[in-house]
Amino acid sequence: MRKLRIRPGKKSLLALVILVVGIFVFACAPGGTPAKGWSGAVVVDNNLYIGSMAGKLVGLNLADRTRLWNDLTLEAPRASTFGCAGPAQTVAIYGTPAVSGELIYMAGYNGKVYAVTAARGIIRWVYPREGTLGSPVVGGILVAGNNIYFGAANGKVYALDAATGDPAWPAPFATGQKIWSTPVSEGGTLFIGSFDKKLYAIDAATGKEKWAFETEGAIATTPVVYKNTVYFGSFDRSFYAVDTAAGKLAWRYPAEGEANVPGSWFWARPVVLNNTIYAGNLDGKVYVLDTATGKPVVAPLDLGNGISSNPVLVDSKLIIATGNGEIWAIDNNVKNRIQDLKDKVYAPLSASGEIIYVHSQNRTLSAVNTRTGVVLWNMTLNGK
Amino acid sequence: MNWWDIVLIQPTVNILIVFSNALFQNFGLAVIALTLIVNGLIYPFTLKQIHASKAMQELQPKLADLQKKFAKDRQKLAQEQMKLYRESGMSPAGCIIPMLIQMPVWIALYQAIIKLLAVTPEDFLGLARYLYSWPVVYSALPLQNHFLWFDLAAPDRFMILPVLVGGTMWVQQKMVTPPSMDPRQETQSRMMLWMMPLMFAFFTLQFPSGLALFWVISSIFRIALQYFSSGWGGLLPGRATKEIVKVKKE
Repeated sequence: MRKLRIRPGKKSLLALVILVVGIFVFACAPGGTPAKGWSGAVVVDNNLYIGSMAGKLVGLNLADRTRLWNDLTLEAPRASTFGCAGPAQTVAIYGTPAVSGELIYMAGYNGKVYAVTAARGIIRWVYPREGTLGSPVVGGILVAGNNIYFGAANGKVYALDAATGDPAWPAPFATGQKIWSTPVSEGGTLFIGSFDKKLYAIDAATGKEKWAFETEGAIATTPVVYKNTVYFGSFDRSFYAVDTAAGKLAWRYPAEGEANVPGSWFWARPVVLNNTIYAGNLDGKVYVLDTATGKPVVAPLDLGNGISSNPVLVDSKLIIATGNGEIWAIDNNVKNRIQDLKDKVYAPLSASGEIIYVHSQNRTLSAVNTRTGVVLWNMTLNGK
Repeated sequence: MNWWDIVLIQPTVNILIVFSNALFQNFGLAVIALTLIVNGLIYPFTLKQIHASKAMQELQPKLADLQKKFAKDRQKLAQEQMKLYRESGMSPAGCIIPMLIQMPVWIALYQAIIKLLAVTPEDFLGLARYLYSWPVVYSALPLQNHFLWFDLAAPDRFMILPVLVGGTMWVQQKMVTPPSMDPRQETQSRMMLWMMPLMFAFFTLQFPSGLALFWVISSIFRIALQYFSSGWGGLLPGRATKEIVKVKKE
């Protein structure tokens, strides 16, 4: 058999090729994932608004699924090396847009917040007007009264005049770490979690702290307020109920020494129904707890895959998507898998009537009938 | 998770978190500590590789002579080369096998650092499944990304780390590159000497600084190891050339 011989002159060339290939394999080995986004949809008057994974705000007429206007592309920073502008980047959109009156509010991973007219898809104002916040916005926007509120990864909570985009507080409220959750409001108080392990209650009018409740892990969950209590989960694998007035702990699950410790982080927003709170966990289980005592109402419902997507209530049924794209309906604490989209789902679900809208990580928006489990339609949101 | 994740990535991720917690919540110190420990653990392989490379370098003049002598008889050349390897008690694979053993460890460490830096929300969400159910692991996250003058999750905007990465790699590379009497070989060696440091320095401009820190510490460790096992090598060309001439005379 003829042996393969490498001439000495070619040895260094071969070594160079191996080196270059090796470096690229090394550099491209699985690890870092580009920011794609996981915006949910919001449905108003049979129109749907969503941030696509192509970095665009999309408006759809649900009657015929046509675009309301040309997709609005968010301003993208250009990567630069040695002062040379690189190719345009896609802006990831994580927060679900919020709609109030004639405006849609949305924030981008580029550290900017936009107010866009719902009728024509034209930018009304941008915050900040020049440059960016210097930090991405991952959480969603809350509209309350005449203001909008949001947290940014620089650890600050901002309040802006909804009509003009001017700051509504003298200075943003600063926490000790990044914020990825969406604020909620009740009785003039904002509640928002931070990666500094604290849940903050902030005076919505002044931006001053009312109280802060510290857990043992970061908080990415958007809290829910029910009967003067704020409910939220933490990365410390515990779920908390805290009194809204004074920030005192009402209960913690699991309680001291209790078995059934959740296996992972609480990420998805909890949902309250009939004095029962449903909290999805990244361990794939839904913890069903009594809102007054924190005691389990039933054993955790195992859905088999991590839950990070915010669930929705449809006709007193809780609809939950798992990370692997299965859609579950929980009715009277009984689980039933109604659909399997076979794609990753991290985006919050949204509902209109008995239909839910699911934005999966392969850029597809699906409409699923929650009664039958049938996928009514789906479309790829690649931009237009 | 696949076996690669379970056996290598998951333990490395959790150990890095524990180290970070123990070292003043400082992820930079954790990266340095684990890089040094891993280097220490694979030290026998690295040393073997250094010795094999050095032995191979010392054989180069004799190999060049053989190539000249049997330029027209390839079969005889191969036989003589194998004979020379056998007589000197070494195998060309001696350089490659230790390197192949080390590669998975380096890639695992690299991937664990990337996962923990969790630059994007997708990365951070994905990190949850790698965590052991130790309370310290859950309470330590997210890790503090700030170290010295740089953000470990972003490229160094002061351009100091690219220079350090390129510089230390160049020194290390120079130490293992022997001066050559053959001008063509000398040109090729020079190209190789600059290629890798420049490429890694370029990567440092794009990659999170945590990785650059890992590359710099690894290079410094190898420079030290190289120095204590075989001196400055090609970094002091005068001395190295004398050695080559001496070997040739023998």
